[in-house]
Amino acid sequence: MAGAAGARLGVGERRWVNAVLGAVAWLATLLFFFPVFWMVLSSFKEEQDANTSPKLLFSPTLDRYHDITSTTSGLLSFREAFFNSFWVVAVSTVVVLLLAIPAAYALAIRPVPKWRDVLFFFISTKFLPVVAAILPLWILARNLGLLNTRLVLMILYTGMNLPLAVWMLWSFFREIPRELIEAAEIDGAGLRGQLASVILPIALPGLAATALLCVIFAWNEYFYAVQLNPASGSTIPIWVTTNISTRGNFLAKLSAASVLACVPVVLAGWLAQKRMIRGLSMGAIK
Amino acid sequence: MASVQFAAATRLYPGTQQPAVSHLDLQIQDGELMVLVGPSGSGKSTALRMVAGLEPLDEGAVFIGERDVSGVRPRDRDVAMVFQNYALYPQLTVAENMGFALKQHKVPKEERAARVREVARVLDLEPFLDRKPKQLSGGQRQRVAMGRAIVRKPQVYLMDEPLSNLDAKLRVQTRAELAELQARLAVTTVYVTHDQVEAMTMGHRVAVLRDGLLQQCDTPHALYHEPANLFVAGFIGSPAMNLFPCAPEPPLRIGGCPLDLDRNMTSRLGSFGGERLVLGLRPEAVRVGEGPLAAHIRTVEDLGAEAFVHVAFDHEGQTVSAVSKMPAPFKGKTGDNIDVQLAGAAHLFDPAGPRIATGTARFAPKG
Repeated sequence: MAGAAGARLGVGERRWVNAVLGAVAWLATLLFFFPVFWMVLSSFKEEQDANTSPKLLFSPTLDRYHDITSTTSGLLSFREAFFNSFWVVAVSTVVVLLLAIPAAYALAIRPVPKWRDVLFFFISTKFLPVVAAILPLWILARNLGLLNTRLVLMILYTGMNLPLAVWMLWSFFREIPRELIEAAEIDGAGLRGQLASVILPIALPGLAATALLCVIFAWNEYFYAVQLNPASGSTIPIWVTTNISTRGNFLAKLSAASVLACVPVVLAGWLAQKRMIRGLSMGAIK
Repeated sequence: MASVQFAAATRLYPGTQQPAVSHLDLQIQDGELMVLVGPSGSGKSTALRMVAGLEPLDEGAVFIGERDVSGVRPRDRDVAMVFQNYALYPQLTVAENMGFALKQHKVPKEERAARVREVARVLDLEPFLDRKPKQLSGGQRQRVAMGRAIVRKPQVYLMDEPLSNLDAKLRVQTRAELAELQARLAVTTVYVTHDQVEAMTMGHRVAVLRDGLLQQCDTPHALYHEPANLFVAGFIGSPAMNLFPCAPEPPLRIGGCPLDLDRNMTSRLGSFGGERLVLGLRPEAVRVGEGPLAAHIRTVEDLGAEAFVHVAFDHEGQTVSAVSKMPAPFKGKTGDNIDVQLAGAAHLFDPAGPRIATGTARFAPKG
């Protein structure tokens, strides 16, 4: 039943209006999707094909993927960068969840005094532009000997994602019926029991959505990485840019690198899709 | 099993002036089914939650048995609660829901399973043990919530309007089953409801609350026949008691017709110093038929076995309504002019205070 033609008409709706709106939506979708499509297409081309006037018919090759994964154009190989990213993203996301779950519990289920102010404080940390804080951060990182380490990014990504995670989990926890927590309390569950047996299983879709967003933001982060960690500990976004060269053509190689950088996030999103959509809409409909 | 006692228990919600429950003194005997009843905001649920430990006390104390539990955490009170919306854990099966508390209390798996099966058998839940709550009907969910409480063998059951989400027929059926089960288990039970029929049919005793204050605590029979005050008189009984404001000078009059009161009522009326009083008559004490009071029928509610006849007449210059409970078949219809007679108990109330007297009142013979 896809498309405007097959859709059921609501009361008072006109078929042609729906058709026009449907067409506009498709146009916008194609417009947004086209660059991604072109990137994927280019990654299977020879460099000269990618750089000449656009052509759709070509003989696809995996050579560019082979090039970028087997040779190292910058300081790091794909493999090293991938594992750097993996560890930074995994550790920061786990730490964010470990900190955000109790924080959201304290704000949503047993509201501490001034909980609104606390919640506002969390989001206010996002008001400062990252660029305004980068110099002090750089000096701190240098003085602590953290420049060019994974640890500095783990710490910064934790700080970057924590407010978002607290807000999201707060809104999911708030949706849990109070009686369930009270029932668990009377049934003998302590704080840990309530969290493990009642709150987290019910908020699991929300938890999955929150974790996924943290993964996406941390995986794609570029600014901190390029400023504080451009060398041995650097991550996939930095590695992608190392495929830009000043000599010769690089568009196909860069496309292949970009596709590789996207794959883990797309894969994670696809795996979590079902849970995440339920999670994101959990607060919307009751 | 144990008794439950409220001792001047008070709860004032932050930011409010009037306590939700004010200096409640109430003793619930071991094995008793005590119903807390009252309109919305009367404090009945708050009182229940104070026993559960979900609501702190601002003054006074709550005892379970000999033990003052006022500062004890909910999980250490050995009480089980059935919630209005059942509060079943959605991700757990029926068996896991029922065994949840036992698991928290580290009861061995085999014993847990055996106890859950035993209770499931009593409640006819055996075929559903592996289902999730969302796969059950309302009545089945209600039984799971009951089962979850029973399986624990607690000292006290706390029930917060457990039948209010069931349809009318199932509610009546479950009401009887619940009362029977409670009698069999003989576990002290505090039961909150706003439905006075539920209160009257289930409670060994019923405590009527209003605005956080205990109005009367007595057997259903005593509440009906000897209400402590005007509020209890109006709240208990369906249809509600007919109430007529009167001047306290004898003879009292309804619709201009003078009343003959019995000796007890006459002497109590003599010592009453107020300016107004209220005469209360249950619907069964108002009879449509031969009588001195001329009235007309507003509506007839025919229930098959009996009929509630709503009549209207002039009383102290205003048109007032009264309900009469008449045996079926009742022939009258809306708009008919009829006569009204009194037959049964009458109550006199101080509008702002307690009941003054109960006795018999009849219309004085003409002439």
